[in-house]
Amino acid sequence: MSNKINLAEVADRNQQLITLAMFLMSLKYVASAAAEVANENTVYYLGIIEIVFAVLAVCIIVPVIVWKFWNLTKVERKTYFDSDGYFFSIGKKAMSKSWTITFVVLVFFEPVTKNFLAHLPPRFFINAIIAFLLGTFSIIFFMLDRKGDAEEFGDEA
Amino acid sequence: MNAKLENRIRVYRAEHKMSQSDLANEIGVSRKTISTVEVGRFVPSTIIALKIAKFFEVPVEEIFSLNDKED
Repeated sequence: MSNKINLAEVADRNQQLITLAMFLMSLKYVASAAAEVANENTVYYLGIIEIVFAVLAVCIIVPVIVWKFWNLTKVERKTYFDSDGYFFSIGKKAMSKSWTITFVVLVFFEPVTKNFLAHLPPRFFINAIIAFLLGTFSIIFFMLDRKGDAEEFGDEA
Repeated sequence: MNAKLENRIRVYRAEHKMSQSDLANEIGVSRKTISTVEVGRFVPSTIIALKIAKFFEVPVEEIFSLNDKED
């Protein structure tokens, strides 16, 4: 069989890495949201946590974009983006589910925020919503990914 | 009616003495795509189905079929 690089395999691995970076960014936004309501001492440590998660996410994303993607030829890039395999499918599913869950949560919490959380700054809610959306997307993606593993047949020839 | 897409990829792979990775490399998809199609978890696009059929040199209906029996 051929020994050439399987671009679909590279695209899958990159999709996993990007989703991992999205999960780290969701933790960064959790820390940002918490910093809006925490006391001064805690804000200092939350700031450090934010930087750590952001740096980790960038360290994952940069290699994926720069030397894994930039090294591809025009034709290879087209093949890379034309992928319509399993990971593309679970990416779409995770996206639609995370949007739906986030919307339902927002609708549910709207009266609560009006009555009990009105004193919190808008940045708290913006950070919390971004964290929730990124978090639910990445968790659903990895759950669907694992589900695919659990039902596999063997790979014997 | 609850139609289910059945396939005989595993049979054809065995006949050609190929692993999932070998088939994935030949048609330009990931191994996970092949494995999830085999177990019926992922319904492939028409393009992937046609590529698989073309690789095994059989009509697509030889590999994929609809099972629309009710449970």
